[in-house]
Amino acid sequence: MISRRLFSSLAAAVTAAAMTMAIAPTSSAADPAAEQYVARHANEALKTLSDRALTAADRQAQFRTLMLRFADVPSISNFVLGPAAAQLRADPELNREWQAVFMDYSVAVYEDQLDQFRGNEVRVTPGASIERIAGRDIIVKSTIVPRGATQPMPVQWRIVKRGEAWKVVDVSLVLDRNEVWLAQRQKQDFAAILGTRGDVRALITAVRLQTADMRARIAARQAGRRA
Amino acid sequence: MRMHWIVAALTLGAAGEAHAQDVTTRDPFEPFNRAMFSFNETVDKYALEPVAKGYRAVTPRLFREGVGNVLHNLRAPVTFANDVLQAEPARAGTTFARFGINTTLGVVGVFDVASTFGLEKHSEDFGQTLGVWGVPTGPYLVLPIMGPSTIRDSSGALVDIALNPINYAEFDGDDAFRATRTALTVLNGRAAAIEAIQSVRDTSIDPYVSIRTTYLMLREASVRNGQTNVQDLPEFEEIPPEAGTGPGGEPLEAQPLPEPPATAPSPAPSE
Repeated sequence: MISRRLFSSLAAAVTAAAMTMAIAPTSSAADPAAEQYVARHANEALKTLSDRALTAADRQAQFRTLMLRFADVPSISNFVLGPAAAQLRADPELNREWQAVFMDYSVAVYEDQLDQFRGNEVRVTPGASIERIAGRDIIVKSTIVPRGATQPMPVQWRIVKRGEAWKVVDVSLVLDRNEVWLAQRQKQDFAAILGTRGDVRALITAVRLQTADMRARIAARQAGRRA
Repeated sequence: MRMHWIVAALTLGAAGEAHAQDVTTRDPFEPFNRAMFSFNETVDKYALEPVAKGYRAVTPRLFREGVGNVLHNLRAPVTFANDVLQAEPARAGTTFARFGINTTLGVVGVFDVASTFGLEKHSEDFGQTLGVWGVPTGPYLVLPIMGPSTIRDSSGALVDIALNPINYAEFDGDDAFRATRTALTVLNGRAAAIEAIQSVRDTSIDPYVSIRTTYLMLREASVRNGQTNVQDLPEFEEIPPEAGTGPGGEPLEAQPLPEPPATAPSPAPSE
């Protein structure tokens, strides 16, 4: 039987130890230029969504331009196919088609899903970025508050150097304190549709249908907001 | 005894030949799982989701946060036991201190005072403990009502029930207390996930697959305590400009897509 006094001093010791560990610094290398790059572009994209002066077509076009500038879309669309991406190299026609279909899909996904952050700002956590490859492959940490929520949500941006420019290749969200990288998740989802045969044509058809579905919902939402 | 569950998890896990990234190979029971998934979706559509939405409509956010905090605090013994079993003394200390602070200063766990002291919230379960010790997930499994799981995680959940003293403590109204706790866990959890689940239903080509992927990825991350080692992230191959974009990053084939009408929005070029 532990006496009450021993128990409380034990609890105090454990609390002190735990708090010391909680504030111990973690090792990371900051990159202010990369952090500023993410802050500027992510917020530019969010602003496009809340700009009421834009027509639906203009917003979509602007979003597309920003996405091409901010993200390495060709690299991502190659990555999400996994081993099936080899088919694209053998077939330039298929490659063009896939790039276009995946781009449309990505723009629709982000236009649809980023709506929950409309009117809010991405806040990059200064000095928290981690270098995977020094100066070439960096994970920038940020937070954003979803509309109607009180707690900020952590978002990480993986950016890589392409020539002289930074480009985003993946974004991670934290769900229930665990992180999920979206391009990696997309790759897994597509793998299930591609199946063992790796049928890129079948995937193109499925992705097109899904994009149409999302476009209809975005249009309905925008019409509802205007009304 | 629950030991045979662990043995079953170990055996099936070893037979499952899991690859870290390739989650599709971990679903040998797919036909069964899909049937269970659509059963769960039906239950969700007609019972769980409407009730969760109603609960959200009639309760203020602070109330739901308080309920979540109490439920989380009640699980502290399970998290503590698993922190210890994972040989994580610092995290065990955090859990212990959080439980002490939140139960007292936080008024039986309603307020997460410990977080303001820098003691961050986390939770552990026996499925994660098995994962930490190298037990593979085994096949993916969709459970009735409970939803996505794996052989390892559902075996772990049974061990967790046994690890929590509150499950066999005898006191006045203990059965009612446990029933209320279970109901609130389901309700609070579903209410918190309204947007996340809607987002999967809205954006994924096959929601069954997306939920499976997300579940398996989240569990993999939770075994590593939420973080990915950045060195383990996959490479993104640089695609030369002629394969898709011009030197300025703009597409070579700058085909302006016509703005589709709301009713038939697919660009639908001929196959």
